[in-house]
Amino acid sequence: MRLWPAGSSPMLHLRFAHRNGSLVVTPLAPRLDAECAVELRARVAEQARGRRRVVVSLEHVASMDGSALAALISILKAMDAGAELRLAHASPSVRALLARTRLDELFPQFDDMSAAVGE
Amino acid sequence: MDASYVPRIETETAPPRVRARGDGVRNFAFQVLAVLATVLGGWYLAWRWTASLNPDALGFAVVIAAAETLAYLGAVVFFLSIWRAEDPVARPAPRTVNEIRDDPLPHDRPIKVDVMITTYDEPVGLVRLSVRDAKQLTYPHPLTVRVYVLDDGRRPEMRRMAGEEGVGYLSRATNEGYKAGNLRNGLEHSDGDLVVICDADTRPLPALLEETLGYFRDPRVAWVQTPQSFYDLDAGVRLPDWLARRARLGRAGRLLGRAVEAAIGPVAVGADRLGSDPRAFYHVVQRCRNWCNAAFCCGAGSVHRREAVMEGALTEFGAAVAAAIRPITARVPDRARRATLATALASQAARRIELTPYEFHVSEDIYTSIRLHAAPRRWRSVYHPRVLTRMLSPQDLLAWSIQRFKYASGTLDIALHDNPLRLPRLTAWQKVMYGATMYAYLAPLWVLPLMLAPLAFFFAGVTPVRAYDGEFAVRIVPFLLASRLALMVGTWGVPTWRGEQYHLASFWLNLRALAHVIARRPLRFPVTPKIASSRRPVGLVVPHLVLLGAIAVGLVYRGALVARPLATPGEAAAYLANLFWSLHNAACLAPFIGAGLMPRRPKEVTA
Repeated sequence: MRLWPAGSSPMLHLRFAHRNGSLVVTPLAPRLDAECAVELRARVAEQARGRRRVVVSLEHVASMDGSALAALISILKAMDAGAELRLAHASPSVRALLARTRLDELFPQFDDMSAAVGE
Repeated sequence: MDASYVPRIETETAPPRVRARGDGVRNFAFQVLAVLATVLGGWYLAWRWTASLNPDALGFAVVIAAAETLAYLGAVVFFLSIWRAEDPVARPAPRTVNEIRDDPLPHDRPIKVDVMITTYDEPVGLVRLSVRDAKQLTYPHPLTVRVYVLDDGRRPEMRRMAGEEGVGYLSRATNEGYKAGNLRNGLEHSDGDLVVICDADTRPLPALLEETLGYFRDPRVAWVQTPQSFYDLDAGVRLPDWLARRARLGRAGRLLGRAVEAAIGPVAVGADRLGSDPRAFYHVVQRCRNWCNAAFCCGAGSVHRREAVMEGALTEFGAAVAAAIRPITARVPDRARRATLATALASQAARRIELTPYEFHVSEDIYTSIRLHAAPRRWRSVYHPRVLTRMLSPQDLLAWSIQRFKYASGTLDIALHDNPLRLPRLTAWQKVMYGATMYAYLAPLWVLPLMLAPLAFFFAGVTPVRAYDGEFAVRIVPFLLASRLALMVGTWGVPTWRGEQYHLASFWLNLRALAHVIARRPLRFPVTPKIASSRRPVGLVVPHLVLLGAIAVGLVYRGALVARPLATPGEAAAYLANLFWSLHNAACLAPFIGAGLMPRRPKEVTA
């Protein structure tokens, strides 16, 4: 049995871009789960501060678990009042999770990136 | 390390399972007796309502008959809730995480387990014991275990201790949500597949993970609860010894004690004066909830699947957000505009609502259990029947009362304002189980009238029945005997008398909880104290002292009247019946009063 030293989670690859005044975050991972939720929250929340609109592009993400969804909620909570967190290219399994937890109204979903950033 | 918190009585090994085999025999014998008692009780009550109400005091008679009926229903529901004892089938400890997932990871790996030890104001020395035991957990395969001290007290000395022990330390800026919020913070900063939840004083035994992780091979299993066991309970003196030495009966006393124990099982005099022994709850109630997937999570000594905890939390959060915006969006007719408005409002509401792994509810454990059992994924729970953690019992009557008040008011709050019996996805048996728990907390509605009834007879001479005659005896005695036998068989090998005493003596506490919930006063309880306070909680036992005094005065007063030569034989029979019932009640109140008046337990100082 191994006791882990605290705070050593694997590296998550995130691409940040700016488009039409929105911050676009693209996780380059097939799966967003508990293992990367801590890092996802910390890094995106930092970049999202002061933004009116953040779009998380899930084009590479096939599945997401509850911990990652909880991270998205805490990113939203850290953003200014009135700011929006949108999801683009959510896979069917991600949509199913959002529907099951009734969080689909909280995170508007777009199939098209230009619509998501309001172009 | 504070030596004062080293337990007085420490049993190093896990006590053996109460019953490994013989469940089939127990179940059959119990079910026959329970049906018999139910039929006999129905026969008695039918007679009570149709042929025995005292016409000279009809109002009083109806109240008491109604109380008897409610008590009878309580017994029937309790019989149903312990209808069948059945342990889960053990499965081998999983090697890797994919053995417990329904969607396998592309790169399989060892399972990761986080042990969360929540603390608020408990001494460092006490928490250190829990941390050290958590570090000793064993497992037959490679496993990644992280131990975290979740300190809502934000104490530098606690942080230092965690550093010395080489475990994680997490604290947060506020104490929002108390223990539930503290756990949420822990989950946000960790990533284990499974989470072990411990209170500050919960000391896991090495085999905790080895014995419980196998159940997670079923991907629907959300949590495994193990029985809680208090390592500091007073074991008392066994009856033969007590009779021989304390009662000074010598050899004769010892023989008598042995004979009694041979007939009814081990008896320990003076054991567990606070009625904290949780064996009746775990070894009977929880064990009998297992077969129909209704075992509770009890908030400590349990192993949870992170995904189930998170999904439960998210679903609750989503429901709260939806409820907050519905009244406004419902008024917008245009569909497209409604969606835009909904998102804006949801986003606002989400900032106010807390996401917690456990509800912000005083009875967060039962609430969470109900929610997960009734969730779209219909999570399963397992009660593993072996003791794998040990903890401290409530240290005095005040701590005991706070804990019980919390259970009572929380459960009643759920029953009255958020009733699980209306949840569509619970099975009929799950509803019976949760219904039984909630019904039990309504006990003061019948316990109080039934305890006061003898006083009406002693001081006013009124009785609820026409006559305490032969027919009364013929109707009631078979019912009482059959239900007593059913209870004995249903709880075989587990001491229940102390629990019965405290159940009756809790009438005042439960009545206050009921009033509290009906008045919708806020329910707020941070944590149950683990340390005895220096004040004697005399106030808690005042109603009991008054009742006991009234019983004593009443017995003497009516006794003197009955002893007069003019008295009728009927009066003597009524006196005897009320004497018997009052003595039973007094015996139930006595240990509770004793616990309130007993001096503070001296701290054990070990060198």
